[in-house]
Amino acid sequence: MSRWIGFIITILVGIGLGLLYGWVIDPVDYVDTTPDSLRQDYQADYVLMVAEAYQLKRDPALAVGRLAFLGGADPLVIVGSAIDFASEVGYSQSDQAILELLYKGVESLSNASQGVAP
Amino acid sequence: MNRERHGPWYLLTGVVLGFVLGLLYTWTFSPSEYADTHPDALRSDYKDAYRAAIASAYSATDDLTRAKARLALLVEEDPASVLAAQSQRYLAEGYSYEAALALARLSAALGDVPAPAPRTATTSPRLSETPIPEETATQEIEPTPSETEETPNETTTPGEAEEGLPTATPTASASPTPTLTRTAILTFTPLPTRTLTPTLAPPFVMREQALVCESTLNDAVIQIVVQNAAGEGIPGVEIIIHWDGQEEYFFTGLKPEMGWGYADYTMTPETSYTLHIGEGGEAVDLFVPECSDDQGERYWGSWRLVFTHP
Repeated sequence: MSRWIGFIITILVGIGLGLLYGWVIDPVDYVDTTPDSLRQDYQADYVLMVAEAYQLKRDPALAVGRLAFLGGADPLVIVGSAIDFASEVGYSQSDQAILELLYKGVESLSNASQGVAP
Repeated sequence: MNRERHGPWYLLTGVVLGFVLGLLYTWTFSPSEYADTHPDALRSDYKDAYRAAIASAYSATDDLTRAKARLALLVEEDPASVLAAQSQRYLAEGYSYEAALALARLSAALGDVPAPAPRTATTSPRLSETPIPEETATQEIEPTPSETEETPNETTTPGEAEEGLPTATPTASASPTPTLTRTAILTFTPLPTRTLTPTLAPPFVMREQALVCESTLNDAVIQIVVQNAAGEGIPGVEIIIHWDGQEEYFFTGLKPEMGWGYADYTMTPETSYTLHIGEGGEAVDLFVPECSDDQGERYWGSWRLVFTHP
């Protein structure tokens, strides 16, 4: 009986070592990830890049195409999340302003495509 | 008695079995969270798109510090070369001309080389859509009255939103979180139209045309070097080549190892080419030259052309 207990204990020790190795020492190394898995601050910075480019050309269709990089979510939701994040972490006023500008551009495109009067 | 016969091996078996089960669980059933990833883990095509976004943002703001910080997130050894290669690839694969040019500009800026040459007088509608300001040129973005009305609810004044941007001043931060700040200049001057003012430069002229006979070269190549008046190579200069009713364009500076003002093009024998450096530049007619070695054996030669500002 004590032999079985010892056997089970060693299995548990082995599992513990396996978890330690798999989660800490050599966790699964993710490569070739997709942008929608990027951390929120990186996603917000990407939206800011789109907004910086948008402020020059004011081409909402191009901006929406670039926002598609972050996945299939509604572009307005993507920009809205970035604005919320920017406000939360304290982006500069000018950065927040160009994010707002992008939001308005995407919104106008969205309204136009749905036949909604601005 | 039984225990003595088998020894402690069952304990080792237990550890190994447990270890395998643990690994199976961590690597298969519950691997580390696949979220909150870093840009350097992106698939290569997504990295390309990320780089293109950095370059287009840089084109709009000329904020090199911010562009560098963003490129650092991709953890690449030589970002300038990667950008140059991507620019070349974009051109070859028919991506947007503007995207390729933005990548070339950022690559040149990172290389700490002279700014890409401004366009000469443009006639093509494609080119006139995207006036490219010089690094040192003033880019006046003046909001129209309608643009100021467009954002009445913003907490900043139109002057802050528009004029503050060209004077961006990122603050150093250990975190990759974009906590960059910009210095707003509250000197808004309402003007009637949005005006982009690219600086025009005189067209390049050919200073030297030399036949290159090297039997070791596999192809007949046009080697182009574009220099400023001081003899420094200029990256980002557009070269347009025509042959048999076809047209192709490429840029200097995409092979930094050959010099920032260098570009080359592989010719097809028995074809006539006409080459321009930028819009309105001097036209140069070329054909594939023939060379011969010491034994009289003939092979296709190359041209080396050096262009400079007058």
